[in-house]
Amino acid sequence: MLHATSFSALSLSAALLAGTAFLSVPAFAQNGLNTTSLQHEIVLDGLDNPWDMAFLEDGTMLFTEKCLGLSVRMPDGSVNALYGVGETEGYASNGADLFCEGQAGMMGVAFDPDFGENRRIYVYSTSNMSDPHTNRLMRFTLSEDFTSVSDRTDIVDDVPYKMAASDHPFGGPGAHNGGRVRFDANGHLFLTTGDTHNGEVPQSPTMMGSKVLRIDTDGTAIADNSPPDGFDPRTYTYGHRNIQGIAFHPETGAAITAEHGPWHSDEITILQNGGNAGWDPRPNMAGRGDCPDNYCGYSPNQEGGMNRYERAAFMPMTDFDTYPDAMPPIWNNNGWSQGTSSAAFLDGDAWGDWNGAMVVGIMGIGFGGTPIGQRIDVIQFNDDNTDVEDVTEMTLPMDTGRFRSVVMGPDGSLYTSIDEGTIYKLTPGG
Amino acid sequence: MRVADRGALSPGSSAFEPARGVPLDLSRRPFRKLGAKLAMESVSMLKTHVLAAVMLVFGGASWAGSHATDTTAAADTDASAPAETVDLEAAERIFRKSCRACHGNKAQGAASYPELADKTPEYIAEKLEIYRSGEKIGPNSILMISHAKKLSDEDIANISVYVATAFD
Repeated sequence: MLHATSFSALSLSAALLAGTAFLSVPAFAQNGLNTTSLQHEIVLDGLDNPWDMAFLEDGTMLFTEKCLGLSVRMPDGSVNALYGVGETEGYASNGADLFCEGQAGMMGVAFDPDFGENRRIYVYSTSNMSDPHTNRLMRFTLSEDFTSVSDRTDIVDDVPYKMAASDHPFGGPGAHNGGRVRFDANGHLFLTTGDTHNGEVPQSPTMMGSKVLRIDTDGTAIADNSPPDGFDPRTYTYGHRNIQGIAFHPETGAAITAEHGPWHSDEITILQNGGNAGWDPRPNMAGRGDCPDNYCGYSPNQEGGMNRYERAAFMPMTDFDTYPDAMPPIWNNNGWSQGTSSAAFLDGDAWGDWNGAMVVGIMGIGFGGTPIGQRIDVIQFNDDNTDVEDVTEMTLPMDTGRFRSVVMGPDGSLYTSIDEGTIYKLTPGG
Repeated sequence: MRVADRGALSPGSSAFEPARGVPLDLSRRPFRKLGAKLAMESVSMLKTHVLAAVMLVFGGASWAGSHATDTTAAADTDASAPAETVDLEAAERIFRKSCRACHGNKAQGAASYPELADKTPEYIAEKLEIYRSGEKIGPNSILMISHAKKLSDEDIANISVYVATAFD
């Protein structure tokens, strides 16, 4: 009931604030919010699907390549290959059990907040050590000279993996693993996961797909996680589709997700401890009949384009009819799904009006009449930081790409990787 | 219709059918050679070679079956045909609108979407024809079928040559 009360309050304030935002638009337009001038540099190029990055204060950058492995770029620009996927050559060591398939492979990476003391790092990857295979969050110790990792400990070993192809668009094995790994200011470790095209996963109390896990660095649930009775205690939120973006509001500390929608309704959601994001793609419920391979996630008319609002009515991203207390999204990308991937908060006076705003990387989609939409959006919150007030597409100083990752660097620049193989540095000013 | 014989383009026609059964052999890349030539040679030569590409794409079933590899010979053979070109500008428009978001800005492949730049025009055209027929041949078939159904024979000729040669 506690949750119900707080959600209702949020909905009401969201509605009121939405009205405020609408009235404020002309003033913002005069201020010319989209005038921030950016410079860009190519940090690394020719990579294989760079998926995530993490930084130390001196600019040292961990990065993952989906099918190759984990590497570190040193402040002098040199790169050390640390931990390879499978038999990939050239790495200091390898995880023979790690593999890539479709969307799966090596994904999120993070430094421990106490890295200076404990040398620990965290990497999320697909593994065949279990049958059926799973996604695992691994903890390593990084050597003093940054050339090797050791002490692999799989602190999460049971995130579902899609073993076989199904009759869906994007229906290959390995779909929907989530994959972002981030620490909040309290030192809690968040891992985002996906539904693996399995209708049972999102609302399951025990299958750890479609969840945001909140754990400590041993993989143990944070004590005040408050999912419903019977849920795995590592569950912070559940009922998601495939979250690849999570960031923490610099003022409120709230965990905020950016999530890839099902041909409609990419969502940004302020998470509530124990909350349900309301994704439930099971057949024979909520007015739906049978669906291909028992997953309605792309229904109806999964083989062709159709109006996104009709899709949303049939298979809502957040099903308030079934789950009235579901966490309300604060942004739905105007009803489109365009490949929303990652999220970060801009930090630094050089960003001007955008200092403290959220940025979201969007990979683009080429299907069903949806505008492709490859871009980085700047999301500005209202004064109470409870709702979206304004969304501006960043005017980029380089060509667009599949923006898989956006990460704030210690130098005040925003780093972004695209699947095509490049990591860029975006710096305000110039 | 600017290329070859429409009859040879129909999905499932006898002229096209044999090519489906030919296993992909990436070591055999006559079109890669062609792409390199395109970059170097004069416009008139380019027209001749592009014609050769088109003829191989759409009349290439017997060529593929016989494992012929000499594009120069193929061009010579077709020299009596009317000189036509593929429209690379039109192809680029299609690429930017329909291909790039998934397959990457240089057709280098991205995420779970395969590289195209390393394929031959023949391979690309063959797959697009199959997708256009509505046949599912892989996990992303639903996506590809929706795109391919909108393509004319001419579009397929254009885009096949473009993606296989523009990013060399």
